[in-house]
Amino acid sequence: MSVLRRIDAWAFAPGERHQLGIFRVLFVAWFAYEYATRLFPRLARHAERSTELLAPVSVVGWFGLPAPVPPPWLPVVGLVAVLVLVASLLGVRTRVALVALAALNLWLGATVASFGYTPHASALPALVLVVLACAPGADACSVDAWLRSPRRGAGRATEVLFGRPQSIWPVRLVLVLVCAFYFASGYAKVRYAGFRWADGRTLAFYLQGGSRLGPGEPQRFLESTDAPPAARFRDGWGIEDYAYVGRPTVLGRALGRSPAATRALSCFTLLVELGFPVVLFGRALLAIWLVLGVALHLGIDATLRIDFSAYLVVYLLFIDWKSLAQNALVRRLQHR
Amino acid sequence: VTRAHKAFAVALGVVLVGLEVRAVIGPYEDWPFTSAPMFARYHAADAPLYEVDLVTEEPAGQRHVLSAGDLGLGELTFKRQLFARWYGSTDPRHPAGHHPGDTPAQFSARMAELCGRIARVYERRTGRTVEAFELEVRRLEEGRAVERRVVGRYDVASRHFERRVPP
Repeated sequence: MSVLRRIDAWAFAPGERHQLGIFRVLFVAWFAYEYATRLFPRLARHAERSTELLAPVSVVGWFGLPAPVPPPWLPVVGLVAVLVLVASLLGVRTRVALVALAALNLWLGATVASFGYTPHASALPALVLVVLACAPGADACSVDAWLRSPRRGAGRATEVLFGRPQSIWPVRLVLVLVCAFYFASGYAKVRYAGFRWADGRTLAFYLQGGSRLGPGEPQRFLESTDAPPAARFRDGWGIEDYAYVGRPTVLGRALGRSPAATRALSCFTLLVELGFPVVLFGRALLAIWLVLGVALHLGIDATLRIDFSAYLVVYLLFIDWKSLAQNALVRRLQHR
Repeated sequence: VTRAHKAFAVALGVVLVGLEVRAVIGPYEDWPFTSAPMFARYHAADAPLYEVDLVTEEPAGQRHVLSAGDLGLGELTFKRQLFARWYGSTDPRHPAGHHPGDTPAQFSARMAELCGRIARVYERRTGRTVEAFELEVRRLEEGRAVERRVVGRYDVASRHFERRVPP
């Protein structure tokens, strides 16, 4: 089989292990929670921001989007968001609702990111939502699917809930994007610090509270250790970057005091991030790396209170809900 | 899967993955595309830290550190934009602001532009007038400021940023 045919089969073969309709329900439910608890409170604060201090991201420029969202528009935008969220969740005019939600989310996310602060946790879900809006099979597990199903009885419920096998390309594309995001994170560490990053000292600095997030906490900056003198002309010291911020927990501070622990955690982080693309080479590797990814994000949350649960929600796409349900059913019947 | 369907899927993939790869190579911070540079720079706990501030000078002579809240921004948002887009990193390809071949003259022009914008927003939001801004950098060791340098001064009336050559 030629390479092209193999790629074609890998990308487009019908997939029976992924149920995009169920993923859509879970993913959109997470967006609804995110909108209610984070995005709209943030938009309300951002509405009064001055356009003089706008640093628009490319999406704003490409589509000529207004940023920030003008205050009088907020109630209308809120209403539209509720409508497309509910329609996407229930699956009423699913395709139209998903496309509208993906576009709305890109706009709102871009306005939030257009003042100098990049909300990294929302970037991957925004792209996954775009893929989902275009994906065949995303309209399973929906009111639309129920209405158009000609079958009756248990067969109808199964077909409506899980949908028919569809081309697997949306799952593959999301997988490539997930790999790109993790690899980018690992590559950035190697690009800026080399494999010296694995010595644990950078992680120790953050875990010990060297740069904290919280009311009254200032943004702090890091100096370059290798910039040429000419590049230090502004202040003479040579500031290279802003420090990122976290809220170290008791566990984080305890680990931060141990050079062995910070070294091990740094190596683990690099392994997970740089190694993530191996998931493209088989289901077993995918399962292993998803478990490692869960451990990484839960570990970051437990030590620095940095919430990347959005990535874990994306992982739900790779779960075979149909097999899970069938196995659960078989076990239940055996129990009887 | 029809050919048209495949072509659409490939086009979507090329656009999304291509833009993400562009952000990684750039490197850029261009939400939703990112080079994911969080926590990537090497920094040991005993290395110095810095704080950057703008100090306002009002007509009655009062001076105070400009708060991000005075501009309707959060601290991280304001300082990160100030640094990456306007001040400039020693890294000419900082993900949030590329300044290749940056010079003192370009730096002064950028700071003049920023301070002019800030003066307008500050006066509109607070109702107070400002005569000048001083751009100040403090070096911190073990959490305490050990040295302060004034990097330059912006005069609101003349719209001129005068850079101070560091020692």
